[in-house]
Amino acid sequence: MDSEKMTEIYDKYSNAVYRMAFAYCKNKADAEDIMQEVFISRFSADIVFEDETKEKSWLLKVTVNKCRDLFRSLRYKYSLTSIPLEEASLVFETQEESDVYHAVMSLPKKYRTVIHLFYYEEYSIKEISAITGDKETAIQTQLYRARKKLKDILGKELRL
Amino acid sequence: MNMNDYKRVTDRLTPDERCRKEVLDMSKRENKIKLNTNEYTESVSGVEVRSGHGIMKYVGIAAACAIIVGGIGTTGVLLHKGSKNAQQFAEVIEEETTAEAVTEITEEPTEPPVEYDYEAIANELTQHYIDSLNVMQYGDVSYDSNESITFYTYDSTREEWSNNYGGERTFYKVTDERFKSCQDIYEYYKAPIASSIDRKHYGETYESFTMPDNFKDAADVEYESSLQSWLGGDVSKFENGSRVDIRPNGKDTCDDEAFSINIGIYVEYNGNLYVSKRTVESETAPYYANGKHSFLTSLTTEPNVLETEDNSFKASCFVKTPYTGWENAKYGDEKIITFNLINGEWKISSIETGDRPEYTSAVAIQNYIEKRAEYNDINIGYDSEGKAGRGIGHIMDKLEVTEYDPSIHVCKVHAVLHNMNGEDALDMTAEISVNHNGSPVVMSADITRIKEYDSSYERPNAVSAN
Repeated sequence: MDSEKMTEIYDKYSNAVYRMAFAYCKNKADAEDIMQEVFISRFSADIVFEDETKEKSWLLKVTVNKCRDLFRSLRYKYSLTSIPLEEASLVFETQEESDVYHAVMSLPKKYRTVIHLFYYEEYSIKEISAITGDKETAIQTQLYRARKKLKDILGKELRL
Repeated sequence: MNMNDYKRVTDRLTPDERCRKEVLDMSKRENKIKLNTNEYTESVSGVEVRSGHGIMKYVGIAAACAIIVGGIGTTGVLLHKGSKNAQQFAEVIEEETTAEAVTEITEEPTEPPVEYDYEAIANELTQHYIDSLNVMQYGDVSYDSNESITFYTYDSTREEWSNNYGGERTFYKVTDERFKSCQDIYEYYKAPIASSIDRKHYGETYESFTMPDNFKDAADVEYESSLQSWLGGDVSKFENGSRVDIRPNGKDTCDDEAFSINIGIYVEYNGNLYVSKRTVESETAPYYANGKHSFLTSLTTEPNVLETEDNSFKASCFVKTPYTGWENAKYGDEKIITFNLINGEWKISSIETGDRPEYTSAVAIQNYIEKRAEYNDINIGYDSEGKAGRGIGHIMDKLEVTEYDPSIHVCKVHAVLHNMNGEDALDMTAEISVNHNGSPVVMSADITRIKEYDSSYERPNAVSAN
């Protein structure tokens, strides 16, 4: 792949990949490491995508897989103490933004992932299933439980 | 307050410009190395050129990158700001340079104790276990009904068996990429389970056993039944479309493969895995009615961590299993699961059934009603023709657990019971002890007659009201 093509791909998708990774890892250093690995995988892979949508969902799928790999590692597996939300790179303009963002970030990883893909990336259940590799029924359950947990945390139903 | 708040905060998150430079620079360098490598191999003649494993190629390129990076004095990738590797690396250098100046020997740093997220562990492993039950016992896999095999089972030694229990057995080819054989399903089933399992009763271990390697030797973790009830194994020795005798060598021996065709949910045939049509197309199958899942085991509550020790903890959750009367169940059956940390991995080491709020309440009500002659017209386990029918399901169908306190194992329930004519006859609210370590007991009951007692509808064998 030539340099121009690499630059074009990076500029087009780096925010989406980084934001997905941050939603999962909750810290900048890991999210950036994941993002680097994802793009190196992309540039090494000899794949021609039909369209941008497919390329983006491929990148997010690789991102989620790499995040999972990281959290399966000895450093993170089931460790509570090592994954506080890193606040340094976050900007909140209102109290509501802070409350909602912290509520989402307090959810378990799999719930954060589906919430991010569903509400932020606006993927369908079917598309999320393809990205995460979980069954559609599992995604529906996760979304339901995530919303319920958000309601419990925030004390009221979150408007969508 | 809405999801746009989350979106707005996320929109402001962007990776450092430094990352862009690093990713693109590194990828460009890799490209150059690849090009150089290609040029080199092309120029060599008379030598067999071997292409190594993909990963090793990648490792080689990465190593080459590291050498180049080090050689030209670029801190680049390894030392980028915020990188964990970089931080570790930097700390080591700092320690080396300051070590001589430090005369006092300080205590060796100790690793902070690891705090485990027990809830997450319990969630992950329990959900996996439930999913594997649904695959193994209810055929919850994708399949292609256009690719099928059919056999016709019979018993050459007993015509009665052939008429009642044998017949057509059709299987559809499994298309689920996860499973190519019965052994694959077994591997999926035992993945979250420890190699050594304890069977417990009232919290006491009464048996320990090792999970065998092969599914043919394995038994269900909870109920001790052979997995071959579900995983039938290879039946390629039979011709597709043929009649299959389950006792070809006389009445004393049964042909395992033939029997697998008769009862198995899965069989293997000529290298492919098949799932039983009877399982996936019955009214209670997971995929009946246009792919709608309707008959699967599911968690009704998430695992609740009960107690923790070093390298071990217990959690409780409620599971709705598709048995009679399960549709209305709010809780289902409690599973008390023990998790152990084994060689750095958390595994399930025992599963015991605990409280069963709906089922035990129904049993308690059945006992309570049965002993009172004034309720001899109430159906507590017989159908309208007076024969044994759906049993306890008659009560469970009409029963709702309105409150359940697991700390004292007591339920409050409401039930509208039918008389033997199928009419609403009794409105009952009750407080019931459902402790799995004790007997089901109605502690108090408030009963209102909706339909007057009619002796013509008395239960068979009921003690006379008079």
